Amino acid sequence: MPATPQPAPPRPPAVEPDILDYLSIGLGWLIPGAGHVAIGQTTRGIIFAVVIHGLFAAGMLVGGVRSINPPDQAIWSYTQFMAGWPMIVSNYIQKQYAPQIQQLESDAKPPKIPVDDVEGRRKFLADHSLLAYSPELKDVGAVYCGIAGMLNLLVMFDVLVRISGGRAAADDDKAPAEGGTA
Amino acid sequence: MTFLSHALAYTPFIDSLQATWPDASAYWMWLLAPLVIAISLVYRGTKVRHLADLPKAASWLALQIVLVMAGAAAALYGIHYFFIRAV
Repeated sequence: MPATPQPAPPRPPAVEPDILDYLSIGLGWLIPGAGHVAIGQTTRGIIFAVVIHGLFAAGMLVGGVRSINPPDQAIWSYTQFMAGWPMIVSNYIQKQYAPQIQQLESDAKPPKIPVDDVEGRRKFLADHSLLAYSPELKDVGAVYCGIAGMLNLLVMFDVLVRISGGRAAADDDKAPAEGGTA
Repeated sequence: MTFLSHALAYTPFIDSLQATWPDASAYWMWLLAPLVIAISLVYRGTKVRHLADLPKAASWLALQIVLVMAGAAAALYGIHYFFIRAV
């Protein structure tokens, strides 16, 4: 007599998130990765925190304050603000430097970066570090910070799915293991 | 000495990397690698159930992204070559 297949275990019912769960989503926006830590996914949250903070910091290291709120690509500003506190702090700092940059750029005879003269370019950049400008580096910096924000948005959605039981319902056919209680 | 003057002039997180490394923009494409790794880690981090599977899953996704981007770049270069430069 052939063995009858075992019926799949019943899926847990979807749980209605309460106000504290929604607060974990907000916390996840403010501090990337903290939402997962708040719902018990500590290791996962730490990984997200390290990656998103690291990507945002790398963007600022590459492009400087000009990576934030690029005037010609406003859409990146919205995505950058999804990164939470790093963008809030960076935005504040950028506002401090904005008049200085504008002053440098709006001089009657703004200094130009020597293009062909390598040594002249090096000396110029040493003297005018705020004017050090490369469209490629600024764009890469803006993209780093913007993608960090979009990744944080994805992480926030993941928190929402987990607190509402969606991720557990999708994963319950596998054995529980280390690294969290999905 | 020039390097020292650049290092002293450079303020991290404020100035562009170009302030301390004037030729950095020539290597901008290498800066895509950390981006691909970060996207792969976070995306797969939301999908995998066991975090022990994350390195393998993220590596595979990163490889896929790089291959697709390289394919797209080759296709665009081909279009550019045959329809713009050759015609």
